[in-house]
This record gives sequence, C-alpha cells and structure tokens, in this order.
Amino acid sequence: MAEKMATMFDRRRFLDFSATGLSGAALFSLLGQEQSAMAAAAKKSPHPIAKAKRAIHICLVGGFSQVDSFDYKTTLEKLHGKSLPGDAKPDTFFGSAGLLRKSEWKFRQRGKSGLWVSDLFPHLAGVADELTVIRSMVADTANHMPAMFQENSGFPANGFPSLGSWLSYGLGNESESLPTFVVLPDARSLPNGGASNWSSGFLPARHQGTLFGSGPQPIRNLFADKPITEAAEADALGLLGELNRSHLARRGKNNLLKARIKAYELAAEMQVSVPEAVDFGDEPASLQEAYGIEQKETTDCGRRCLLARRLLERGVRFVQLFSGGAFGGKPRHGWDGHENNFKNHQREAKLID
Amino acid sequence: MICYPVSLGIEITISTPSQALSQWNHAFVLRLSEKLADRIKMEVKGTEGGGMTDLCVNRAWQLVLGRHPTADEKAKSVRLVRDHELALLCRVLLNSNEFILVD
Repeated sequence: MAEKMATMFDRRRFLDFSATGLSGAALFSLLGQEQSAMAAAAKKSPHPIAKAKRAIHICLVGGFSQVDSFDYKTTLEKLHGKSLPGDAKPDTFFGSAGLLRKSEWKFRQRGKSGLWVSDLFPHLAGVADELTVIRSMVADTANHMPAMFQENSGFPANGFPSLGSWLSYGLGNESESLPTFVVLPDARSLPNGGASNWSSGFLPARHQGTLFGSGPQPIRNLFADKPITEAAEADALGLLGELNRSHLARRGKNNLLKARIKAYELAAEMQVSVPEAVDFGDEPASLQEAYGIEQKETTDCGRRCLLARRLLERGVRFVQLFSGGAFGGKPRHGWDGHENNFKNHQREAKLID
Repeated sequence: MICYPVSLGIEITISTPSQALSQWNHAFVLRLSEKLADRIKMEVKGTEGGGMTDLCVNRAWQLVLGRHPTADEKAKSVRLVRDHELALLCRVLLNSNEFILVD
C-alpha cells in the first residue's frame, strides 16, 4: 500500500490539496507500516520534527458564530442596524441578508497577549494567553454537511480521510490496547454527516475513528450479554487466531485479512483497557468538579472532556469531541441558532466553556 | 480535483475493533451459534463413522466453511468442543476470516 501511495503523489502535492480544513495542518512524516522508499525518504526529510504527539479536537457543530466569540468585528459594531454597504451580495442559505447586527456579547482584551475574546466564553477567555486563534479558515459552503466534511477532511464531499485518520496513518499508534483515533460525540445526537466525519476514506480502514458512546457502556458489545468463562473465552479466541493466521498463510499477502486479525486482537485488549479508562474512580472529586461533571447541564460534555484527556494519557493519538449534534431537537442540539442566536449560543457555550 | 482509484466497500465495515466486538459478542451471533449447534447435533444423530464429537466437528466445518477440517484443525476443534461446547466452536467458525470473506 505504501509503495502505491508513493507513486501516486508526493507529500508536497498532498499538502497542497489539503490546504483547507484541518487535514493540512499537522502532517510531518508519512511512514507506512512496512519499510518503504517513502519511509526512507521521510527520514532524510528537511521537515521539522513533530513536537505535538497527541491532540484533542473539539468540533462545535451547527454553525458556531465567530463574530460573537473570537473574531471581533469593529466595523460590524459601527454599522449596527444599517444595511450591508456596497454592491456585493452575500451568499445566504436562503432568503436575503437583513440589517447588520453587532454581537450581543461584549468583546474585551484578555491576558497579557491582549487577545480579543467575547463574554460568550468567560472561562476560555481566562486562559487567553494559552490560546492561538486562526481566523483565516474559510469553508467553501454554507451548508452543514459539506462544511463538516471540509472541516474534518479538507474536502466538502465525503470519501476523504479525516484528520484523525491521517494522523493515525502517518504517526501510528502509541497504545497497543486502545484505538489510535477515538470519537466522542454529543450524547444528544451525532453530527451532520455522521461517521463520514471520522472516516478513513481511501486509507486502510483501521485508521477510521472508533466511536465511544456516552453512558456506562461506551463501546457496544464490549462483552457478551451471556458471558462465558475466562478460560472458554481465551481458548475460543486462541483458536480463532490460529485459524485466521493459517488462512492468511495460505492466501499470501492480504491486508484485509491482516486487518481483521489485528482488529480482534485490539478488541480483546479493549475489553480490559476501556473499562479502566472510563472509570473515573481514581480521579479526585475536585478535578471532576472542575470539569463540571457534577452539574447536570455539563455532565455529558465534562465527562467526555475528562475521558478525552485520560485516553490521551493512555496513548490514544487523537480524540475528536463534538459539542452539539445534527440539527433538530427542541431546543436544538447544537450551535445552529437560526431562531434565536443569543439564546442558542448562550446555552451551548455553557456546556463547553 | 485529483481523483484516486479507491476501493472502499466492505473494508470499512469489517476490519475495525468495533466490528470485531459486534461479530464476537452480539446477541444475534450468539443465538445463531447455539441454533447451529442444535441443528448439527440433530443432523448427526444416528450417523455412523465416528464419535459424536468427531461427527459434530466435521459437520460444523462443512456447514460453515464448506469443507472438511485438516487433521490439525480437527484436533483443535475437537479439543475446544470437549473442553467447552459445540456452540463455542460454531461461534469461532462464524467469526473466522474464511467464513466472513468469500475468496
């Protein structure tokens, strides 16, 4: 696979077409699973060595407003109540643009850096000196699903690998007992586009995100409803492994067969590692409180944020957390505040701030 | 737009740990394994040519994988059935790559 990829494109062209969205941001070396010409070339590469080893990506779903949070538009304030000047017609979802409206949250300069952050996120504003804000990211579409795809893969169509998948492919797994790329969606619903947002696209399937649900059983079917003895489980899985390996030996090189064998091995490891990771018994009460786990409205998000941190501590490379789900619900599950932007954002911000 | 020849298909759905867990632990697969074991026991009743376990193992391989087991595969299968139960062997065979993926 790696040899084929090496002839299809080189890293310069790859980084070119991933310029939008997050996919272009963090790739330093492309190493295949086996030694390949590409791996050898990467070792001699002048590219800087990656310092960041693991990441959590928090995706606010539904159309989070930048002008109400991190992008202070002073001209918008001045033109409050007036029509948009000039001849250019903005691209609207439907209908036409009305009168201009300034942000309903006050912007202030924060910390030593003087970063402008609105009062929408009072806690985040408190750590402004630790933030880097990139205001130049632009989507090609105003529609939810293609914009989600573009944010996660660099392309507004589905079928392309997500950022987590690229990191898994390029940097590999640090843990033998947990997946490389984990997805923690909002308990209310999945984001627009669902699993396409954490798809591996044309990369091997093992690089797709593994979904952890909310609640006490984050991985479905982690254990059978009617469990058997440990000895029976070990003997059965042992036989399965042997049968699969001799089948593979008869078939010759086959990545899909290998992937399935590895999947069962990882699944067996996860039966131990997942319950340990999701059990917050060893976390002090004060920390759980700081994450808002005790308060009803922030329990879900707080748990997922703490779980994300614990997963990273246990070697998971990339955790993708979604705040908000697909449109729908009363009130809406996410940042899609068409009816009342103030109420919507004020409510959603409390969950993640 | 650069296009790549892609073959997504079945690989997306069958080679992740989540899928392995489903295939191994889902109530449907467990039920299927038990029903298959019951069927095999009924079918081999009264058949000659070996002990009950031997006949059941052969029949399980025939039904699920369409062939007889090799001597080594047979010995290991018989041991699993003797140590535990036929339904467990059925569960193993229903999870095997040889069953899931048609050559």
